[in-house]
Order: sequence, then structure tokens, then C-alpha cells
Amino acid sequence: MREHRRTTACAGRRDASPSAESAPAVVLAAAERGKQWVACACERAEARGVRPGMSLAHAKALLKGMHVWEKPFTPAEDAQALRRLARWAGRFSPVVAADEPDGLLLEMSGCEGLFGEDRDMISRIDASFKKLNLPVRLALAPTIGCAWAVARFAADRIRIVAPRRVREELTPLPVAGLRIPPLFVEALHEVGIERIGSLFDLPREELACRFGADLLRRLDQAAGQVGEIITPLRPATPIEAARGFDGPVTNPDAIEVTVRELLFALVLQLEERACGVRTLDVVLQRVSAEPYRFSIALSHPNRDVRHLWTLLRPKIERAELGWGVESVSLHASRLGRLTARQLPLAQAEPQREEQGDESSLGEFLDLLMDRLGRGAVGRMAAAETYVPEEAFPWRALSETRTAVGADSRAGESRGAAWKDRPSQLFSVPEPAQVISPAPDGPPSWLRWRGEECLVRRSRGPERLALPWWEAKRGTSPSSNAARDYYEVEDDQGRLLWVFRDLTTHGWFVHGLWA
Amino acid sequence: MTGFLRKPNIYLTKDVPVFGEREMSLGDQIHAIEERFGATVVRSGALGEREELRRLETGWADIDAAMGGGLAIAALHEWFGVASGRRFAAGRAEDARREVWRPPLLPLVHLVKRAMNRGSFPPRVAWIGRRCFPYGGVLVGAGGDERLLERSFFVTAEGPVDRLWAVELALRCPAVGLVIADGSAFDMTATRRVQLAARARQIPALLVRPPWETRELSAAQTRWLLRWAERSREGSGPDAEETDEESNPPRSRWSAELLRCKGRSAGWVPAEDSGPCAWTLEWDRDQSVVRVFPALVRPVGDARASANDRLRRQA
Repeated sequence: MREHRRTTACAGRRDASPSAESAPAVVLAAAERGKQWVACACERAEARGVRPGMSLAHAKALLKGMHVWEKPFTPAEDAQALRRLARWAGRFSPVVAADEPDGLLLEMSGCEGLFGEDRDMISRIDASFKKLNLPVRLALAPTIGCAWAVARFAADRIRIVAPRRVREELTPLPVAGLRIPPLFVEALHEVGIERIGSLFDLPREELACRFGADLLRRLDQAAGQVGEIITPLRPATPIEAARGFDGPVTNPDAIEVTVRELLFALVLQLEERACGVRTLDVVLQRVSAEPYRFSIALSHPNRDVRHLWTLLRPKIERAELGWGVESVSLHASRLGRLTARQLPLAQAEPQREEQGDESSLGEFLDLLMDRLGRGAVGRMAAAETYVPEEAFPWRALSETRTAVGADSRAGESRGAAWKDRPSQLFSVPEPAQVISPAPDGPPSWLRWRGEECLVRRSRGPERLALPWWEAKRGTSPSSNAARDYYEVEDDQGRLLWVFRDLTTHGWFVHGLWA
Repeated sequence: MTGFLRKPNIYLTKDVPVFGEREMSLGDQIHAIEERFGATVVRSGALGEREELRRLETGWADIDAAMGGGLAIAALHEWFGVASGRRFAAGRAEDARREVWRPPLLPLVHLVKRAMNRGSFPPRVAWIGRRCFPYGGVLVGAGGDERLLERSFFVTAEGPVDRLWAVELALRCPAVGLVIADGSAFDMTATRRVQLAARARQIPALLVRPPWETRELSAAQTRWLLRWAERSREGSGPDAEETDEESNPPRSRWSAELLRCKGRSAGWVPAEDSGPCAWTLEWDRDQSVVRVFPALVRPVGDARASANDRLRRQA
């Protein structure tokens, strides 16, 4: 049994990047009680003598003359990233565990056939990590402990331990490779034990007396005397509900009732997980036809049966049942967090109003988008540009991640720039014919939309042009030229915003104060 | 009442519990609607006095005074836009229908800002119908205040049926505090539905409509007709003596005419020659507000006469 078990341990250095002379040194700093200390440092920094645990000022002094990247140390985020990486590594083995803080454990027993020889398999894994720009150390060994130690402390970056050579491989490695607390490592150093090999020679009873059973357990695990298993990362169970019929069903009422019941079951699952659904897929398996699928997408996470049913019902009514439906399944393919909500005392309208909350807005927006189309509801946000038609781009709500009014950007004082803008802007400037007394002056007469009007008063010009770097790129051909804008009041009393294109010298009406 | 029963399905989707112990029969549904409708009538009667108090001050002193304190909050207000061009002005109604018209966006933006600065205002503003979307720049207030921009969302709905549906939906959403919509081609039934929904939620609904629809029946509380304010040359206007370009830059001005103001007081109607019912509004870009032009000396009779002439020509 032990012979067949092959475990790969990967130990990665997150910050180890291809070294270049000019590359910066990366230091991850943690702060505790006002004191900043180095939690982690890259190879270049360690080459200068920076060690984890030293104060940040000390590290900076050591790195004098180098460009230093100082980043906050975020263990929780690192652990999360490691779990993501573990999920990604599921392509090599079904049993993967994240070994915090910096390792992955993969159970490779039974996977050899898929990847060929051990050497091929290991180099393939290595190549995949390289594509992610993550230099890793790899070890393939019969036991978890051995793979762990070899991956971290062996001389080679990639090492394969033959089934019967576990003890030989472990012998020259330092005792820190035994996954024991640093306190034990120090205690062992004090009595002159530095290599794992020395522990094998010592009498076991004395080791247990002096250092506890834990050391022996770790030693046995590494050597393969005691079994150890990987606790694999479990993929999240999907939230779904399905029901099969006893024979094809063509009655739409039966389908409706079934979907409704499944919806209740789904919502119960959502409540357990404190989630709301953002995309709900419904599949009707039909007899001798491809499955009929439809889905509803919501702007806010929601688990209100009533609301979901309002959206689902018209789609079920439109469903083509063909020769009959054999089974119905509902699947929540996108979820969002939705914490528990206090139930109102009575489901009366004023109660809902007092909540005045995001969920009611979300339901409202869902209904709108369901009937008018996904792109029908949008908002405008100020963009960092002075080109008038690009300053307030329309964004459909279905494309933006945040809902209306969620973000509160630091409003910089560009209000002054908008006060001279019209209230209505044509997306395409409308050409106009103009008589202008002076070559570069404001118009005195213009014909626009087949109407002639005399200009009573005008103000300008205000020259708007793209910044030179964008004008050169020519990203937007409509607006790559400088324009001279005039505010023009005509004899009807309208205030128009007209401009002269400085390259073509044509005149256009771009908006008006309505 | 019959107008409501003709299209009951829109109400039923919301008001009839789908997941009750049993489906309601049609009779029960109708009864529920009747109850709801009756309740609205009773409440509006009982709260008549208090509704007088719930008004949105427009910030235009003369107009507030004429309306008895401001626009009623829980009501529908119609704003007739300006037809761009002279074909409409020449009175050819059939030409006018093909004419482009411009909704009075700046006065509306002004009202929205006033409403938003009131306390206890639900935070979202719904703009329904592409025609009434203003340029984002005017939603940014003085000093780069982007609150209104962030709280607005815009719904593109074509056709009066979809727009009415969206307006009613928006008026029922608790998070929406103000609805501005393109109300062109809305009929009496549609406006009455909007008016009732606005009253039930106690929030204002502002509809913009083309100027040739002033003859359409409507349940609106107030109706406003806006036109570009021409600078008169004959010397009767405010700017006749001002000719200096520097002291008199181009301005955007409208003459706003109050065609109807329900519930102003018993028997109050904008009569031919009693009381002012037309004002000149001007956009103050520095403060980003609309002001009543202070030195209004336009003879009211003129405005009434011209408006009545136009209405007569349309008819």
C-alpha cells in the first residue's frame, strides 16, 4: 500500500521572481503594536541579510541603494490565494490540499497512468506553474512528510524520491523539514542534532521522553511508519434542485407546479448558505429533442420566492414542451452574499417601504430588465475626460458590478467644468451652415435642421481638444480634432452649443440648453 | 373605474398573492382591486388638509405663491416641452407632429435637486424614456456635487405602453423617490394611473410631453407649458435697452405658463386676465439652479392671448 502512494509537495515562493540586477527587492511588512517588522522577504532581499522577524527599519538599512517594494503582509489573502491555486491544481489530481502557508499537497497515486512516467508528470506540473509565473520546488515521494521536507530542503529544485529510498533521502535534511514547531528545532539544535538522520540513530524512548510524542509521530510519518492522509479541498456543492417525471409530461400546469416546488427547495438551500441567486438556469429535458433552457439574471442577489417566480413564470409559459418533458432542473449558477433579513411583522406595503432597501430596488430593476431588455437600464458616471460626448458614458446596469449609487468616489471639484455644458447633447453633432463675419469669429446666422436663424448673442470660443497623446493615437476619429465651441442665442430664444471643427472648418450644432 | 378594469393584469401581478394558500378567484381579485381603489379614495379625502401641507417648494417665490406653497408632492405634474422650429409656431399641427420637441430639462433638473435636498427623500431618481435623459453635466451640481448623478438611473423604454408600465413600476418601488418620464402619447387613462400611483406612494411624478398634446385630457395636478423666451425687440421686454454684449451674455430662458393647477383653492382657475400665470425662468449656471427672472414685465395678457390663439389654431 505504501509503495503505491506517491505524494507531491510543492513549495512555492510567492515573491520569487526572475532576478535582474535592477529588479526591486520585495519586502512584506507587518505591523504590530506600532512596530513594523519584516514578515517575508524575497530572495534578493535575503541575499542582503534581511530575515523575517527583523524590524523594517533594519531591513531598509540593509537594502540601502536598492529599490524596495514594501507591501503589507496579508496572511488571510495569501491563504485565500493558496486555496484558489489548490483548486486550480485539481487538474493534476483529484485530491489536493492547500498546505499553509506556502505549499500544496497532491495525492498522485493512480494518476501516473494519465501523465506517463514520473519524470514527465513532474516536469509537466512544473511547466504549468511556470506558465503562471510561479517558480516552485517540487518533490514526488512515497510519504507526505518526505515530500514536504524534500521539496523545501533538498538541493535540487525538482526531486523524485524512489519508493525504497525514503530514509536515505531524509537523512541529510535539516530537522526543520519534519514539520515540527520552531521551538523543537531550537531545542534539537541545542543538543547538537541538526540532521534528520541523527534522529533515526537515537533511541526512540529517549526522544519521546525529551521532546514528546509529537516529534516521533512526525518522524514516523516522514519515514512512512505511520499512515497519513491528505484532507482534500472540497469543491463547493452546487445549489440545484431537480425532479424527474414518471413519463413525459406535456401539461404546462404540471411544469409550473414542479418549477414552483423546486424553487422553494432551492430557496431553502440558499437560506442555509446565506446566499442569494444572481443567475438562475432552468433546464427542461424533453423527449427526443434537445433540452429547453432558459435563465433569469438578477441585478442584486435575491432569494425571494415571489420575486423569482414573477420572473420565471412568463418564461415557463413561453416554454416549448415538444413531445413532453422528462425532468426539470433548476440550477443557481451565480450566487451573491445575502445575509439573513428580519421578517417584517406583517407583509404590508408600509413595512416594505420602511426597509427602503437595495433588495426592493433590485427587484424593480430585474423586472425592468426582464421586460425591456438587459441593456435598457443604465446609469451615467463621470469619466476623466473633457471630450463632452465621452464625459458621461452610459453604462448598462447589467454590465456594471456595483448597483446604483453604491460607490462613493471622492468627488473632485470638476463641477466648474460642467457648468458651461448644455442640458441636452447630441450623440452625433449635427451639421449646420453658418455665416460668420470674421474668419475665426462666432456665427451671425445659421441654418440647422432646415431652419434659418439669426444669432442674437454669442459667447466663446471655448476650445476643446483631445490631449496630444490621445489625438495621436486617433482612438476616436469623431473627436480627434480641436473644436471651438460657441454658445449661441438665436432669435427664437434658443441657446445652442455650436462648434467649428478646426481641421475641416465645418460647423456643427452639438447640443442645446433645453 | 372602468378604465382600471380594462387592463387588470398589471395590477394583478403585484397585488394578488401568488403563493397564498389558494389562488384567488377572479371575483376575489376584483374585490381586492375595489378595496384598494376605495381605500385610495377614502385616504385622499381624509388627508386632504394634510396634503395641502406636503408641497415641494420650487424655489421660485412667485410661482410657489401662486400654487399655494409649491408643487404638490403626491401628484403628477406635466411639463410641455418646446417644439424646436417654426413650423409648430406657425400653427400647422400636422407638421408639428413630425417636429422635434425638446423637454424642459433644466427646470426639471432644478426640481429634482430641490426634491433631493428635502429630508426623508428616498434616494433614487428614475428617468424613463430616452428623450428625457439630460446630459450628465447638468446633474453634477455646483461644486462638483455628484450625488444626483449617482442616484439616478435611466430606463430606455420605447412606446407609451412600455413607458407607462415602467413609470408605474418605478412609482411602486420603495427605493425610488422621484420619477421623471417621457409622457408623450399618454392618454387620460394612462395619466390617471400615474396620478393614482403617485398619490399612493406620496411621491411626485413629472411627465414631459410634446407641446401639441396640451389639448389631450389628463389627470395631472398641474400642467406647464414652456416656450423659449424671445428677447423682444420692440422695447416691451426686459432686455430692450441692453445691447452691450459684455453685460448681456447669451442666456437660456423660458417663459413658463401654468395651464392648470388643481386644488389651488376652490374655484381657482387661471382666468384670462386675473393674476399672473406666466413667468420667465432663467438658468443660472453658476449656482446650477433655475430662477424666476426678477424683472418680469411681460404683459400677461399677451402670453395668454398667444397661448389661446395657438390652442384655437390646433383645434
